[in-house]
Amino acid sequence: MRTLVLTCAFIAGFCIMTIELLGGKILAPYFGSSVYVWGSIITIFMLALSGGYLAGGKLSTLNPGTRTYGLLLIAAAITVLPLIFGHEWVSDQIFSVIEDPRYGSLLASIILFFIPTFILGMISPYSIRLLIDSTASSGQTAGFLYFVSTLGSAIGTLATSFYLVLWFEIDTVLYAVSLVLGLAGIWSLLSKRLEVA
Amino acid sequence: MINRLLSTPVTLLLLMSLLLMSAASAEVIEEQRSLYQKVFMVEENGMRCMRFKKRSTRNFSQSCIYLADRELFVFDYYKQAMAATFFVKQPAEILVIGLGGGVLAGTFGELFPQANITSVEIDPVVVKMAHKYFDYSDEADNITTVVQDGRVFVKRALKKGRRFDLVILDAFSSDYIPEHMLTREFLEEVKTVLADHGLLVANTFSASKLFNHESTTYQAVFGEFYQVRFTGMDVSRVIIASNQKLPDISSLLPRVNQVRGMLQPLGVDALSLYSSISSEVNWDIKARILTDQYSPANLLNSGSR
Repeated sequence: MRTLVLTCAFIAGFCIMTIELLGGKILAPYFGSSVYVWGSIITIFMLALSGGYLAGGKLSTLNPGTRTYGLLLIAAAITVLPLIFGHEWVSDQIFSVIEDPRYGSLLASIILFFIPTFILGMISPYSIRLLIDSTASSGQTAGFLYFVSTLGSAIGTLATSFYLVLWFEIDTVLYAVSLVLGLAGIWSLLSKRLEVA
Repeated sequence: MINRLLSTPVTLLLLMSLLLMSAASAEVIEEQRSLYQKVFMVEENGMRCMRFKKRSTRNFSQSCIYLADRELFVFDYYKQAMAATFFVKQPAEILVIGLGGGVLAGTFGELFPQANITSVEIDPVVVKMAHKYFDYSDEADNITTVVQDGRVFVKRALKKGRRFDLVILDAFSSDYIPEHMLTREFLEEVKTVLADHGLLVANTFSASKLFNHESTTYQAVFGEFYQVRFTGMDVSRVIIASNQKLPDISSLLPRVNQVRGMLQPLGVDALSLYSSISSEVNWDIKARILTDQYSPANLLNSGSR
């Protein structure tokens, strides 16, 4: 289970930053690449993650196990899909309604990125719960999990900005994100049913 | 004889020290940090330039003027952009995306005094510097400056049903044209914002791999377009395109003769400018088109052609 949880935490960290970086490219045609567009994106990602941490922590108190964990990953995979299908339409609608690109990009970020990022944020505290076996080593376990998931974020940032955008279309990368999250979720569902005491 | 032998090294030394002095005379007269970059005003070799990087390998300035003769063009691309006067006679609405020092906006204002000129610039510090150091003025009723992202402006203009007879694309960051202003979707928006028989003039480079991708993208949107390039000179390439079929290059000659006198004070020889217009396809036609989905412009720009 340790391998499963660490791999999934790595994947979640990777995917968060892939979506965030592509977010800038998704919004640029409508709201420009001004600094406030990045401001909007980063604000919403931070808010979604903080809410996700809270909710994930809370959820981990109710019968924590690999089943719920897998469902979380699948939920993340599914909520990335409307982002792929809807980003042009959503940006276009908001562009028509809101003249100020600051609030336009903020609203678009909420609608497009909040939900998948929120769910991806839930993965971290839930992972810690699945890994922890004693209070004495809890700090060490949490530290190691942060290490793995933040390493995933760093590599996701680098891979996306250096290579993925050079090789693929934005939507193709997002489909891959959804697919990988979904596969991770199925792996978790199929792994030996495990409820943590 | 001895004198001459002596004088040669002395002259050389003198020349060298003069050269050194002029190289050392590059003086930063003002620098200001903006939201987007650091804007440097530099004076050297009798020129005043706006730069976004203090030093760069290409010595890449955004805008330059000669202090002794501010009318005289410094950059080839300024001259190349004047080819627009061969195509448009009396534009009513002119849009300049990327103000910089305001050299092109100002020149078109003088060449077409009856036109309304709207300049879009993302960086308010650049606008301030243009006023302060380049004599850019938008006091007159027909001159407008908008601080906004160029693509957002065009999209908004489309919604409002605005049309322009002449559009100049000259938006540059410290690296190159911003990625979202190189895509097929953006060029389609620009094509739509052009009035009937409107003309697009775009300042681009031809040094990197991106040249091929940019060219196929313009081709995909506009069909045939013209390039203005000076042989054996630097990397500047100005693209000329329209939403209608462009007139044959040979049919421009009468108009070239008409505007000769007008362009002369700018240091532009109309005839040699005319001869540098070409419809030649000199790019890799298989290069992938840049779209909103695929536009790694800066990555492509770093690879050599």
